[in-house]
Amino acid sequence: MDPIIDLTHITKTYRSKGKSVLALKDVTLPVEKGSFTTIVGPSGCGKSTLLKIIAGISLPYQGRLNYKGREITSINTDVGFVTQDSNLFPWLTLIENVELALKIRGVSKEQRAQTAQKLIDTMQLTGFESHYPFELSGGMQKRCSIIRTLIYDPDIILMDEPFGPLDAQTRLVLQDELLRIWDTNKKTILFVTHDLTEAIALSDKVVLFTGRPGTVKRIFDVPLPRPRNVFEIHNEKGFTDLYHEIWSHFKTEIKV
Amino acid sequence: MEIGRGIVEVVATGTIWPHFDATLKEMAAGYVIGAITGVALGFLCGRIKLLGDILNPYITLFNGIPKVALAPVFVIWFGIGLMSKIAIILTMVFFVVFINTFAGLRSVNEDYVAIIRIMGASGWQVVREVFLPATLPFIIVGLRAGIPFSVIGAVVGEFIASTKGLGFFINYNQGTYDTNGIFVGVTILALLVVVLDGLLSLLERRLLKWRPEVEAKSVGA
Repeated sequence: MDPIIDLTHITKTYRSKGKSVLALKDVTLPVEKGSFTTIVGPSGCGKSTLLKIIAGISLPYQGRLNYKGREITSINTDVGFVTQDSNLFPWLTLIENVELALKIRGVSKEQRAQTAQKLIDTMQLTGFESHYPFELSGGMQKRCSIIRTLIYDPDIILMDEPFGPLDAQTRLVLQDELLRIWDTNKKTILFVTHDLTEAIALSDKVVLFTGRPGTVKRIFDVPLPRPRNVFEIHNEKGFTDLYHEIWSHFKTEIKV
Repeated sequence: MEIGRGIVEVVATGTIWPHFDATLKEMAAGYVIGAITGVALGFLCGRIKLLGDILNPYITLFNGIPKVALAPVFVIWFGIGLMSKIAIILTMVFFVVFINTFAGLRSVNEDYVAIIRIMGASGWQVVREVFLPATLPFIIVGLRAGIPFSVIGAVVGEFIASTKGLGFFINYNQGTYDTNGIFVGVTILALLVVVLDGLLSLLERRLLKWRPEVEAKSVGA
C-alpha cells in the first residue's frame, strides 16, 4: 500500500543572519497510513522544520513531498499541527479555542458547541469550558491544543515535541491519552521528540535523524506489543535492548 | 476650599459652560479623528510590510517634532477658532495611537497565524480571529495615552490663540491675576481627564478580561 506521506530527497535551506543554513539534506521517509511514527534526533537537526514543510508553512523546499497523492505547494489545511507551546489563543475561552477550526469552516454555533463539548468531555476538561487559557494548567492547555486539532478530523496529525514543557507525570498521562485517541480514531501520527523513551513507548517506528544538516540515519521498528503501558514501559520485554540499540547510534550524533 | 467654592460659583453662574463646551468639542473631534486614523494607518502599515517600511521613517521623523511647537503653525493655518485646536489634538493623538497599534501588530505571535492558517482560515479570517484581538491591548494603551495628549493639545492651542475654552479660561485668569480662577480651571481639567480615563479603563477591563491580572505590589508592604 502506498504510504500516506511520501518524502523523497527533501532538502531545505533557509537564510539566517545573512548566511545560508542547510537544515535538511536528502530526507527520504515513507509514512504508512494509520501508523505512529516518531522522529528523534539532536537539537537543531531539522526535525521541526520537516514537520513545517509537511504542514506547508516552510516553503520552498527541494525534493518531492507526496501527501495523500498530491504535492504540497501551499498551506496544508489537511493536517493537524500541535506545537510545543500550547499556543491557545489567550482571548478565547477553552471551548472557543476548541471549536475555532469549525468556526473557520462555517459550522453553525450549536453544532460546533456540541462537537467541542464531546471532545472536552473525553479529555477530562469538563467544567472548564468558560475558562481563559491563563486560568488553565499546562496539562489542560496541552489537552485543549490537541483536541482543537482533532475537532476538524484531519487524517494526519503532526506533533512537534508537544509534551516537552510538561512535568514528568503529566507527560505520562497525556502520552497514554494520546495513544488512546490514536487507537480509537485510527489517525496517522508523525511525532517529533528528543526523548528516546517517549519515542519507543509511543511508536511503531522510530526514525533517527543525524545532526544538522538533518537526514535519516536509520529507521528502527518497535516490535513491542500494543496496547502499550507507558507508565511501565521500562519493564516491557525488549524495551531496554531497543533503547540501548537506538541510543548507541543517537549518541554519536550529539556533539559534546 | 476656595477652589471648591470657585468651582461651585462658575458652575452655578454658568460662566464655565461655554468654555467647558468648547474644550470638550475640540477634544472630542480631535481625539476621535486622530484615534480612528491612527488605528487604521497603524493597522495598514503593520499588515502591509512595504507600506510600513516606506512610511516608518517619515512617521518617526514627524513624531520627533514636539507637536506643541507646531501649535502656532496650526493657528496660522486654521485660525483662532476650534479648527486649529482640533488639528493640534488630532496630530498628537494620531501619533501615539499609530505607534502603539503598529507595534502591537508587528508583535503578534507568528505561531498563532500558522495555526489558524493550517485550520483553513482565509486572509480575512486571519485578521479577524488573530490580528484584531491580539492587537487590541496595544490599541487600548494608545487610546488611553491619547487622553492626556488631547487635554494638552487643547490647552496649549487655547493659550496661543482662542476666544473660549478651559485653556482660555485659565489664561484669562492669569491675565487678571486671579489665582483662584486659574486653579478652578486646572481642577476642572484634571477631573475631566480622570473621568475620561476612568471610562476607558472600564472599557479596557471589559474587552481584555482574558488577560491575567498583574499583581500590583504596594511599596513598603
